[in-house]
Amino acid sequence: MKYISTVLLFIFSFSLYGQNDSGDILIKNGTLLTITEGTKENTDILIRNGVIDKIAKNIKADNVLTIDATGLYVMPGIIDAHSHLAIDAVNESTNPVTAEVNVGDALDPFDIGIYRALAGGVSISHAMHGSANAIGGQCETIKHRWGVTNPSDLRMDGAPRTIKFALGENPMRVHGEGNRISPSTRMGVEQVFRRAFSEALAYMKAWDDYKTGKTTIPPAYNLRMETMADIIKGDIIVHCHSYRADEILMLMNVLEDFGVKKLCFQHVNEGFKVAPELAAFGAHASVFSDWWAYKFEVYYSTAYNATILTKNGVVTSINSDSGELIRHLYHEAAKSQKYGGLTDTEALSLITINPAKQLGIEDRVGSLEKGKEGDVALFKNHPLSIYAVPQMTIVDGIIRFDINKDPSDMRIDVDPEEEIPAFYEFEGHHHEGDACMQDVFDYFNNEK
Amino acid sequence: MKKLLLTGLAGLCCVLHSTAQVDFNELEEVTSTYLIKNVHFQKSAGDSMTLTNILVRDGLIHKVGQNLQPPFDARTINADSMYAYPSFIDALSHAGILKKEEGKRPDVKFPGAPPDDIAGITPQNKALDVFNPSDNTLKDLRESGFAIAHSVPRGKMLPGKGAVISLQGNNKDAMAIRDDASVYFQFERTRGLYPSTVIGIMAKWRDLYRNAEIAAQHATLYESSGGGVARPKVSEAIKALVPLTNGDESLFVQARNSKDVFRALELQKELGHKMVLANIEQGWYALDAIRASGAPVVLSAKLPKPDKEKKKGKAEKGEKKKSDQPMDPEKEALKKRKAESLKAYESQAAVFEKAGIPFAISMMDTKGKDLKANLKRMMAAGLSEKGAMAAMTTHPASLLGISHLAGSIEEGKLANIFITDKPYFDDDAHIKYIFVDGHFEELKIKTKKVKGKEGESEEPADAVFGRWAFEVEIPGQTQTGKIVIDKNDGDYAISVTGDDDPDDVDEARDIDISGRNLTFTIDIEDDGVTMEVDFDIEVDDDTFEGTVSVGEFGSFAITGIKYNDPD
Repeated sequence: MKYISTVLLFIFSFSLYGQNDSGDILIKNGTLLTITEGTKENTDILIRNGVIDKIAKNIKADNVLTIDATGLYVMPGIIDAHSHLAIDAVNESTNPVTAEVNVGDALDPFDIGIYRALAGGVSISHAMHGSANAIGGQCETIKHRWGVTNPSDLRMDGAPRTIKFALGENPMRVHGEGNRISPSTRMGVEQVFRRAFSEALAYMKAWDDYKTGKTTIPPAYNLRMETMADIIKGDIIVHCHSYRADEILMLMNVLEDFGVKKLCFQHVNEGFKVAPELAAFGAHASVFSDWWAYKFEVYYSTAYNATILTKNGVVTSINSDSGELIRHLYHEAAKSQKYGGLTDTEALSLITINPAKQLGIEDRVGSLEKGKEGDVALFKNHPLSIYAVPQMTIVDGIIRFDINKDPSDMRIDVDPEEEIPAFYEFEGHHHEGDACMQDVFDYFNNEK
Repeated sequence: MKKLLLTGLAGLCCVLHSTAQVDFNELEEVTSTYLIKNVHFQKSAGDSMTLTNILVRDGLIHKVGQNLQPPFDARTINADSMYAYPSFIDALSHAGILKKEEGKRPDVKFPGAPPDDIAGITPQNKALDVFNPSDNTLKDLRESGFAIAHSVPRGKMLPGKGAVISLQGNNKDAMAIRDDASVYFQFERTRGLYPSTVIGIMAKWRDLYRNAEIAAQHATLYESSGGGVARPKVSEAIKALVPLTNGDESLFVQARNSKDVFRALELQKELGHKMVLANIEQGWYALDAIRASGAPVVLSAKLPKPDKEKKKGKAEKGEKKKSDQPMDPEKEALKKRKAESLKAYESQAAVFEKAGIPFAISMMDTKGKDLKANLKRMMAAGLSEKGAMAAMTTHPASLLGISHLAGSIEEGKLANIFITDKPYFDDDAHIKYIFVDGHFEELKIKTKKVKGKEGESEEPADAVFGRWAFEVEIPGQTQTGKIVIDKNDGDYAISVTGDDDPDDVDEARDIDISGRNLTFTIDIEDDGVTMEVDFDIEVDDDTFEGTVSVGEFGSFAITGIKYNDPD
């Protein structure tokens, strides 16, 4: 009986941090990098019920957990617009169109990557489907509530739906080369989009006819087409894996033809070539700071990409697409100051308010403002400094990472039969096991 | 060895589909009336044991009472100082279901839209169609106290419908208590074909279910129209799901870990079908959600293995040296966390009991002979004896809709009783007699030496070592070969060869010898597919018997005779 109670205690200690819990916290005397309202020195920030209640000097609040942030920088929790954290499946790579699948169905609250991201000040990430298919699956915007055990408690409830599209070599390679079906060319990729949207229009009409009594038999249900219809209706933001400028223009043309307006390009390494066109469409761009040449179609890019896009009025973010880069996105953002000389606020916007806009959650997070959610990251040294060290990450007013309470094994769920290997095999790129980088490395040797 | 087993297995399918043959060697039972005299009996889970007589007639419990006289045609079973329990009910397993050999990957032109049967979507399949009454798993369950199993087909996402089967007989139709007892669902992806991921499976299920609802609606329109409505054209799979959408059937979702439990609950919340959460190994994280959903629960009888202790003979020598060195603190911390985690698994049943959530237990991943040890581990972690017994009897009976037939020793119910020489949960209790569907059987009690402390293994008996000729009975044919068991300075080596190919020698791994019991595994390879073959053997002086389990094909009886080295 004795250890039953230990087990129950163990369970209870984690259930303390359920999703609906949101905390009260007072952070005193920090240097606030608000993003939208400038820098505020020696200022307090009070979070009540998980929401920023007050930002002012000398706030007094009784019975509230108080943190002394003297000498520390306080910024909004960092947001990563492109990651694959905390999901058990990335690519349903069997079909060029899989709009019906949703990585939100495969959330994994036990992924230690969530905690590592928190240790980099990241409070929100966009868990994305992979890029194997021209129209991939729906993605999920998650809050890093490390400690919850119900997968759904990771969801940022009310965040707009998003979906992954992909251009170019990935869908061509996986389906064209891999399975000898369309698309095997860039032209084919365009036709996959056009066909899927056209089918969705026919599907919508069939159901309209049934609902308005024009027909008597309900049409067959098709979750794929339901989802395509929701894109057409504007209920889902398209996030498209892209590299080349010509394809970027192609997708904007396709979406314009079907009246789809909500669009964010991902990677978009040649975005700098078509920055004015992106701005005119209202398309956003989420880029790497300085990474390219890992595939033929991404041979040509520049570390000035983020700056050029920003200066052309494109809402731009810097993302990780990696469980490692996500731990220092603040450093990635700082590179835009070396390459392009962005201001502090412009650089920090790349990892806060701008990704929030791309995910449609900018009214809730992405800056330190009264009424926004209590997602805060505390840094020793300025976050854009090479000496920056994240100290604490708060999500909904609850401390989810604290550098001073950071034991070596932070896993929630441990396999009781886990073996202790003598060494760990290198697991490779994070896309190992899905189809995003399938066969890509063959292009880099002479055998093929 | 590979030829040996694989050729045998290839023949299985034919055996499966042939009708049961009359065995002229098997005699009719002399009588179907039995009087069990002076037995301590437990009427139902948790009841105290009372002394009584039980009259069994024509497969039913005819009378229970202290002053019963044997009718003229009764065989009397003297059960003085013995204990009678209602037989167990296995809430979910593949008992008696053999799997067809998996052939080459089928050639599918569009991997994104494979035919339903290749994609593993065959809810129209029935357990009885792939049921083999002579499968060894049935014997294993019977001899472990079971009389009834809820057996489901094997496969991927939707393998088919389950049947509630009596574990006694050789005619599968006669053995079936309930056909179409469940629609079986698992988060089992189809490699390289849609749905190839858990997200594909979730989406596919929504799509199938909504279409089954529409199909039902369309069918009603069609039937009531008297013409003028297009004929419904839906797949067999969708048609088979219609009773589920009407609430006439229940979806049994295999959800071993908590993430699968949450996923199943999410689908159910969305679509509203009746659902049972089954074969749960790690459900405590989802306790509140399960309770809120009201979904019935089947916990797995399986528990993780405790950290493997060193082989005794070896450890005694090695351990002293090691104890001088302090343990790596990192390893120590990990060991502690693993032990905590193990306790959480062992405590699962107690946690559910405490939360007031009734549960049955599934034998899907557990051998009959391991059941009692696992139940006792659950009890050591806080599960009450009553709770354990209820999980094996009354709860599965009500879950499977057979409470009026089984689950307790009451007049009018099926004569499903097992009788032990000591109270069941005693370490050295044996099942001596079993009644399954009124059929009586006396079990041979294996005389094992009383073990030392729990979990500790015995010194290997000398009789184990040497050269053995064996026979494996695979339906349709008998396979023979040799096993050589050697001991070398505390290390064991076992090699297995088939008589059809004496040059193909398989070396065994995971060898465990305790007294006269011996388990080991060999890997046989064929066409790049590796299959694990598990041996579990009990040695007498010059003979042995036991079972050989071949992956999902099932398990088969093995016997052996010691022979002298010709050299």
